Amino acid sequence: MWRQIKLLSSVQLLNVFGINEARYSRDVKKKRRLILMAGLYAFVILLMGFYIGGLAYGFVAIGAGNIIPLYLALVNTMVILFFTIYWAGPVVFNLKTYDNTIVLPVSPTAIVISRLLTVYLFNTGLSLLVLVPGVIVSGIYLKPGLVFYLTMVLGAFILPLIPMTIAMILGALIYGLSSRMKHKNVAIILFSFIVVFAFFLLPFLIPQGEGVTEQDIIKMISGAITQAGSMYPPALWFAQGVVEANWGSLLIFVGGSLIFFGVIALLIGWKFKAICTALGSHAAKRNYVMETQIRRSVLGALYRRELRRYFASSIYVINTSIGYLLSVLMAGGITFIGMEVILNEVPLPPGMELSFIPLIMAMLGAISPTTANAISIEGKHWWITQTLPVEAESVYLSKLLVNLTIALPCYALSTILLIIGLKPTGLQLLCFIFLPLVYHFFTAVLGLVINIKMPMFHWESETTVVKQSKSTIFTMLLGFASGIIPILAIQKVPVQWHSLFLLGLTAVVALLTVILYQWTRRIRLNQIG
Amino acid sequence: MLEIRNLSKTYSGGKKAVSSLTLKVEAGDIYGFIGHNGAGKTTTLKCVAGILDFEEGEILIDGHSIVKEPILCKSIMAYIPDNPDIYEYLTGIQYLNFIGDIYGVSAQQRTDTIKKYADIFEITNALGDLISSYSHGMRQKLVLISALLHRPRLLILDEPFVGLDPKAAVILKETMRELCREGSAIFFSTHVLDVAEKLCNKVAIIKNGELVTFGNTEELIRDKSLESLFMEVVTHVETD
Repeated sequence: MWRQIKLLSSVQLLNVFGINEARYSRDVKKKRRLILMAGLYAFVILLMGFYIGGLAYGFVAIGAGNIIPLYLALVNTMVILFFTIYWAGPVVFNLKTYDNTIVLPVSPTAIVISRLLTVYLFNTGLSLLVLVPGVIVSGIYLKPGLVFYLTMVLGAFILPLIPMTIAMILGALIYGLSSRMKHKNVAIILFSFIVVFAFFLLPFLIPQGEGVTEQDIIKMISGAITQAGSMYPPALWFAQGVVEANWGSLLIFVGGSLIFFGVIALLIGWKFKAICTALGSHAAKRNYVMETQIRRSVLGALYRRELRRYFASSIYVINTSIGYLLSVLMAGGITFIGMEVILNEVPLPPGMELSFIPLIMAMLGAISPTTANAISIEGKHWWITQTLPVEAESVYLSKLLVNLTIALPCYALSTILLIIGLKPTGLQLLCFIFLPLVYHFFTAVLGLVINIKMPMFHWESETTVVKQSKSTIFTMLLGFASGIIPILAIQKVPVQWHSLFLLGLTAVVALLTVILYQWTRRIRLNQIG
Repeated sequence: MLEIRNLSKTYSGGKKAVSSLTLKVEAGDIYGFIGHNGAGKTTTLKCVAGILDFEEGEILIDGHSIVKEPILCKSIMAYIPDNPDIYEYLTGIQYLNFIGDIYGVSAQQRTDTIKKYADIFEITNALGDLISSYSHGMRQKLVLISALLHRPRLLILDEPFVGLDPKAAVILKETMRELCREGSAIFFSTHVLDVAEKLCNKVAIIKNGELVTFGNTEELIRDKSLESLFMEVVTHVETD
């Protein structure tokens, strides 16, 4: 049985991390992409490490070093919950791969254990990534004894058990709902936006003012951590075990985690097939009654198809609309909270705020246009578009229209809010209206051009296209550059010329948009890819 | 209806998939395209459907070049791939209406056609469900209905009988005959030689991208079977 578990787990892990593809694929492009992604992940891990280590150092600096284990346990729990929730469901309860495996001479228990082990190993890796920076900071500045290190090692392996079990249950529910609900993505999108906005709004909720120092903020965070700890007792038991060498608490933490995980794992093992079948069933009412159909225009049909495709993918929506929604959030913040509060969080050169705001608004809308993936996301369905009797331009136009459908309402709302809040006049008013507007058109066309040049039709997960494709990364970089270059340049321009500079920029970007759009018109669909 | 002249297609890796292929499908023909795996059937069909570009030769649909007048050509034909990968995020009826809108099919014609074929294929009650809930066979049936919506004059099918239940396969064969009686032409690839022998008035055999034989089915096979002809031709070419 253990041999079976080992074999099944290793196959799962090879698939999950794309190690096998990176090692054996003859596709140079694919290899390059995997290496690029590995580099990006390494960068994110490094960034996370610095962030966790930095805050741990902050606690040491204010003399609250004892809170570090509790802080690490809570971050560990949050990170594991966040990463496992959407991943565990499809990995653990995938009926298709279960069917492929059960025909082999392996026991169902071995299959279940191998899947749980895969999730556990991944989470232990995450757990180590969270704990190591904090342990290093503590080691350097607090010089703890051997018990600290031993309990931290124990924590790295035990801490993931409870959050991963909770995430598996929630993940299974999401996975199950997603196969039953026609509009399941609305719930996932809303949930994700609430989490993201809570993250962005947090700094603004902390009291601002002249007297507030970084130390005050760290003190507040440490207070919040203590409160959160009381809401999640396992983290508190772990922290008490580490800091006070309280063996009783540590025993409760280890025992409680193992029992909770064990009971749920046994339940999953016992009812595995039934759970998989229940979760894997689709929403199928089979009650359609034929009625007279309605004829609509070609462009309308293409546009509706694009819009449905867009909202069918929560990951696509979340990744591509975040910039637009942030621009509304920022405009709302400026209008309702006040420019001064915003300037505390987003420092701008004094006297230049009114010139910077339209550029920042333009850049927020420029980072992630939907068009950067609009062709790639068609994937294995691309043949349908290629065989339709329509001009390529109509297809491109429908993709641009979807982008503008998402972008323009956010643009309108943020512009109205800014005009109310900042009351720009004359040329400044024109900049507030036209610069972000032209940028929305520009980045929509730019994303399309890049996706035409860098399509990716062979993918298994939408995440690969939306987050990891070359098209996405290039569009994001170019979008960012198109905003940051003028932001740097305008600082060299005398203030009285700022509005003219921005209007000149608007004209240049508009011209570029027209040139790029004209280029797309020459590209036939079967030339792509 | 379909004329392929000296078609050659080489993939970017340098592999020549089709070499100087010439054949003609006339109105009323059910033309079977036979060959082993990797012979070049799908590549040829994709070139005809306008999915793939090609370096040499010419493809004419009802006298119009697929390269020079792709929209016109596509509007009078329909293509069905070997794997019915269709938009899983749409319901069956949404997909059919999408295709109907693109081909400019009138409300009445599409309602009648959908009703007729959805009833025959027994998928009417599933049309309101997402395609993601469909089985392979149901998707195949839906693609077939979508292909018949605008009454194509040329139907290009890649392995159309794979995944269909016996009843649906019989209905498809009857539908193909009906279309040809109305003056349309059908050009399809298949591995099922029995079906090709009974259904097709013309067949062509392709091997390693080259056409090895083609013509009227009866004249080609005479007193043999299509299976023995295929084995004979393929083996003969291999010996050469």
